[in-house]
Amino acid sequence: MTEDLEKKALEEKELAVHGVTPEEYKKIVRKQIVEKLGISEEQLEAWKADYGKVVRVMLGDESFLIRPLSRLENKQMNTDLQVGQNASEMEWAAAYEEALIRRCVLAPKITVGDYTASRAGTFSSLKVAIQFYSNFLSPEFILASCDEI
Amino acid sequence: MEELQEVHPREEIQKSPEPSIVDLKTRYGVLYSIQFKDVAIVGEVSFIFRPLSISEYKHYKTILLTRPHTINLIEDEVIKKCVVRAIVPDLSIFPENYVAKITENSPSFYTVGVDIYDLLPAGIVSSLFNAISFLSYPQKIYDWNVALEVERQRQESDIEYKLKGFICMVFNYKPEELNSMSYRSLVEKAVMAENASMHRLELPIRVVDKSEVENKKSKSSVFKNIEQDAENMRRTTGGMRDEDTELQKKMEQVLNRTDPKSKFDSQNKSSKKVNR
Repeated sequence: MTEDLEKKALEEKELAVHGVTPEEYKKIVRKQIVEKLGISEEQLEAWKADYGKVVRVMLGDESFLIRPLSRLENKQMNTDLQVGQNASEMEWAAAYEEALIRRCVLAPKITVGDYTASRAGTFSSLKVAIQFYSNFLSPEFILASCDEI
Repeated sequence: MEELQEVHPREEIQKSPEPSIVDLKTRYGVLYSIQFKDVAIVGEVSFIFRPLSISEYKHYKTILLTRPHTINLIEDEVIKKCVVRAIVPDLSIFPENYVAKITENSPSFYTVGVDIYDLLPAGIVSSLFNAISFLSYPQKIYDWNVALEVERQRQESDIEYKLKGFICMVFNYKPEELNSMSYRSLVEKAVMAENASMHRLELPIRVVDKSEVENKKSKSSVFKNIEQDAENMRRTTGGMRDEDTELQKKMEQVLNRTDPKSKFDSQNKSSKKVNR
């Protein structure tokens, strides 16, 4: 019952924000992805089957498709990055960001040139989005989510 | 006729049910729950966990400070240790494509073996580990003070803690031992402690109704205001006037409705005035 009400409230909110129902909005987003990023509907479905969730991120006039990172992949990434253990914390963070984006940005294809040519905040923002959809929560949010039983 | 089967004691142990939440709470003192919604593929996962003990927390903290690259191993170990119940789906819920892709992307770990936590989004385990760490040990002095104040408030409003403290003070009990008693036994021990105690002045223990205390407080504040007015008037006029006597009457009316101690005090005051 509560779930039904929540769903209805969400639908109403979507309608108020976007002026269309959630289903219609999804269709519009899919159409935009196909047109702007040149991704076919089949490819989109295949990615959904492969990774469970595909998210479109809009950064100004740029669009990106990202997916969540699994724990196993995160372990692998940490292991790979340990090769340069003498690196400073900042160097490590930059290497982690690069590895994360290489793995989780599905479209457009990120090339080496993009790392230097893109706007300064683009990859940092993408990292935040990937981490959010991979359920990395802020300490405040974590503590607010815990209940003593 | 049914054939009786001999059950090996070891099999019995294996079949014994998981400890209940009440048992776990008794064992660990406090339990917490956390829920993650809208998780990729699985939708929703929930965990019930216990905090680390102080020594466990310090042990893991030391390892992480000296060898930060072991974070994944420590996270796995702490989760296995502290999660007492997990509502997570079966491995079969993950599509074959998904498992294949994830394992293909992680060749170093595929040979070791994949468990359910490895297939969940990376942040679930990390956030759960952070939750366990935060709730296991206060990170700042401020947090210690908050924890102390919260506990003080909790114990102040709960008669059970007062009884337990009193019983432990008089008899040779540990607070944990008292938790297994029924409330009747607790009350019995408390009265025995009253009788055996040398601190007669502190007795008897009474359960105080909070609303009653607040009522008393508000009444005494009314009284204080009236008394203050009278005092001010006395100072400005330098003696007893009609207004004073009116105030005195008012005071007495209020006092008749409040506690007998303050009534006694005011009578003393008025008698002194008459003597003068």
